[in-house]
Amino acid sequence: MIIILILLVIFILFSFLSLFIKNNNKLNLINSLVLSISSFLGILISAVSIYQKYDYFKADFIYKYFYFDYYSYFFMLVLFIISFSVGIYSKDYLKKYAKPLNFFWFNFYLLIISMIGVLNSKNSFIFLFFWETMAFSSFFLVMTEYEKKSVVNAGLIYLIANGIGALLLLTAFSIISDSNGNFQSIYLKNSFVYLLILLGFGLKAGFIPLHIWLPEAHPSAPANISAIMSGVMIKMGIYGIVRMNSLINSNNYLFIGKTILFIGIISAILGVLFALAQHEIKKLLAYHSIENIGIILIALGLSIILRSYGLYDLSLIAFLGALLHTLNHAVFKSLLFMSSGTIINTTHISNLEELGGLSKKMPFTSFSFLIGSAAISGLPFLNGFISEFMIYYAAFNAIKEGFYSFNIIAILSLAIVGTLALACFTKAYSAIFLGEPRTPIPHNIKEKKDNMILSMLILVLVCFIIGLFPYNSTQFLFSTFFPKFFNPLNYLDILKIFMYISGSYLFIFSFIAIFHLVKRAALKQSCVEYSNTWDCGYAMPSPKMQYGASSFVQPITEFFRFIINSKSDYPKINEYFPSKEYHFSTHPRAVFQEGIYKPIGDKLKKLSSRFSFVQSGSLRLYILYILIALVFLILWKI
Amino acid sequence: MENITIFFKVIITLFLPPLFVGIINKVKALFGGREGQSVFQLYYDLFKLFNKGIVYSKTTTLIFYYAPIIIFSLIFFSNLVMPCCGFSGILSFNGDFIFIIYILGLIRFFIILSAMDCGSSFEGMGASREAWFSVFGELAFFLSLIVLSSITKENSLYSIFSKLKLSLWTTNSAVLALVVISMFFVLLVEASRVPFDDPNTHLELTMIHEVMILDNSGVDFAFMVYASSLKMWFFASFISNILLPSGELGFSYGFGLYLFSMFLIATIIGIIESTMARVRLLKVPQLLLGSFLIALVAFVFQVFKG
Repeated sequence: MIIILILLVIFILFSFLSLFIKNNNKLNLINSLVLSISSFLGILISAVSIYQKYDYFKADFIYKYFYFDYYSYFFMLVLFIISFSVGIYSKDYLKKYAKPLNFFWFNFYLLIISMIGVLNSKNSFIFLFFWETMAFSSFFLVMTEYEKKSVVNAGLIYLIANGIGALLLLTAFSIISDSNGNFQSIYLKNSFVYLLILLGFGLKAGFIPLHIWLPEAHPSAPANISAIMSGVMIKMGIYGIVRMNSLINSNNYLFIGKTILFIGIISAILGVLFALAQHEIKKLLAYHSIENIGIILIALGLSIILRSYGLYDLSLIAFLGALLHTLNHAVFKSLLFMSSGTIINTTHISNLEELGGLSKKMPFTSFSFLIGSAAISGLPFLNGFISEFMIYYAAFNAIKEGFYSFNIIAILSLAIVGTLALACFTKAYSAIFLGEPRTPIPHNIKEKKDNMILSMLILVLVCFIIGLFPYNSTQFLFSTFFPKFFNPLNYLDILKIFMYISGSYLFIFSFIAIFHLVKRAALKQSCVEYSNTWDCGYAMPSPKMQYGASSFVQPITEFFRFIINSKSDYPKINEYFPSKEYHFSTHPRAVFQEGIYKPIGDKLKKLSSRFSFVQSGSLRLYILYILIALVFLILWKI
Repeated sequence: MENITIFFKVIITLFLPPLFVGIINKVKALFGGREGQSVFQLYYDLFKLFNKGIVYSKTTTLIFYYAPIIIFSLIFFSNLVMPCCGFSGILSFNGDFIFIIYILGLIRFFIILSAMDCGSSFEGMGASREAWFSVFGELAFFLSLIVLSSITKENSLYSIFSKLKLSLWTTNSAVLALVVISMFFVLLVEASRVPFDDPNTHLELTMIHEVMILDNSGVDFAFMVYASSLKMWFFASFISNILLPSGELGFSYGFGLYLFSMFLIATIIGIIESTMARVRLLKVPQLLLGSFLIALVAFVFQVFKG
């Protein structure tokens, strides 16, 4: 705990210090060093200090208002892993900005400090203080490129979403906290408060239909901020839900579980469908965050449902699966955002339809993006598979016990989300990196082997460590962070399975090696030629004729037209032999924003304009309102 | 005994799958009133391809180079895990079928990327369809596994199939039959056969699998063709384990029954291919949704029975 405090002091110190450094390069260098080194310490600490039983100085007042327990440490581990790599990444990424970045770095530190605060607060006022600090600092970070109109628009939506979320949480906390404002274990008879909490945290986590700020804010922010926001900040919503679940006892657990599961399924499936229709790389990734939050919620909901059925072991596995997926998603989503930042930095293109063939020019970025794509699709050998496997495992074993309904829905929705995510990421990867460039991308593009590459490779390594050695990594993670739950006897089975999975990887690797040798031997006696792609006899193929991102997913978007509802623009062609150029384009819609929020907002605007006389601008009138309100409150109390 | 069966399994999965394709082709030829190619034709083709040179497109990257080997190794591994004639695969654990389904997902990932790597719009078409149709295929596969796992109350391929005895057909006939039908659809779509795709066509705008391997040549093409026959062998083994469970018969008889059931499935595929036309491409999702619904009906039967 004490080391966490020291880290906080360092962060606060440097946040103010960074306001005074004039030179941008020096600023970036110092801060990225400080951030990565102290985050690295943080990673070590969060794994070690959980064992720390005694304290160096009596600090009862700290323990009264702050948690230092398993959940906080686990989520802090997630935070520090990401801030470590983002710290390294930022140094070279931020070179593209010519304007002074003092305020940017100040907010960056503030964001991290406030997230540590949120994870440790035991008191609702302190919690909300940090929660709002987090909202504002991230708002300023999103607004880094405030010259662009779209960024301002996105920031505004983000600000409103944060405001509403905090309001909901304030209401909920006023009911469940004790007289000092501390969180307490509480028994709830009705689910109303729970609904408030779910909505309040959901606005941060960004599940559907509360997601609309996410696909706006993520693309507008700089890539390192998107990585932090998507990797860690939206997980604060998940943390809140997990924390509240640990506090609230209720007689209708089953209902709560069903609600979370239902929300999770909706966000997972709709998230991936909206992502499929997107052409813009960072928007696509933002929608995938929604999908993955959905998967985490599916696991959480499943764990609550299984607990209410009395299947405690399986419920725990689902719960640990949810937490592991939180970590995994943080890792691969930050990886993807960071590599997309590298792509946009070098090519200045963010539209998938205009990219292509970058694999040869940017091999390391290409490799990182490939690993990130495979991991987020939940494919074996990487970490995403391990957490999804735990969820599947819990659900399948519950079916064996005779509990069908929700488990089957969970399994099938995970399956459909998995396959669609695979379609979406094969689309994204191949549109960016494979084939030929679709637009004349400058030939002098070269990948600089700098800190950006290094930070991505670190995250790739994390993906592989968890993916290839699930036994060791899960045992380490869970026995360190959740020793209370971690009774090795319960886990023998799933750990044994992880051993088998690692073993099968060994088999597969050796097969690949053997068949590679076979291929080499066969190639030795025959000639290898290099030529053009076979174009079926057509002599002049142009790169524009390649299958693009939207043509790749066209069958899927067509099938789900009733949900995705992309707008397509094309002229009517009347000639038999068209002589001039025609253009066809599709534009994915923000369905919820246009279909639900905009009509409601318009109605509200109309309604409130009728009451505009209340806001007359006269100070005396406002004082009168305050007076009336006070009198009313006094009368009410009497 | 264990070692011998594993040895047998490796030998079978390495050498028999091309014969499976040969039988299908022979049946098709007989139906068409032709003598047809020899059942061993694919062996000759593979041998020929192994000795041929390779042409790589300049557009391609390392993915294209490594994909055939990776795909072949993965599907070879999946075949080794599949239990047959009452003996477990090389490994068996609780939830191994989830692992295998995701291995199949990895195969799809690589085949799509290797197709897209060429930058040809033909191959893009095939890749797009592969990505889309597999959504339904995987759903039906998962649902069939859920049904099997709830019939046998087991959660690994080996324990499911060792509990799935011939006598179960007397009590669970409807459910098992529906699962077999649904899995047959999955087999046909995953192996890209009629009515979803026609393996005989080249250069048609409606192909799926054949078009994805258009740019592969020489050894790479051999691995791809071999892998696709192994994939068919994998799904056929799965169906044969339900259709004619051979676990109770001991090794030699069980093995005979296994080979017989594989032969039967190949014949059925041959008959389907010679009596049916390929459905229109736009109707394929509906047909696949149908196979998912069949599995769903099986599931409903299973739940309301017990």
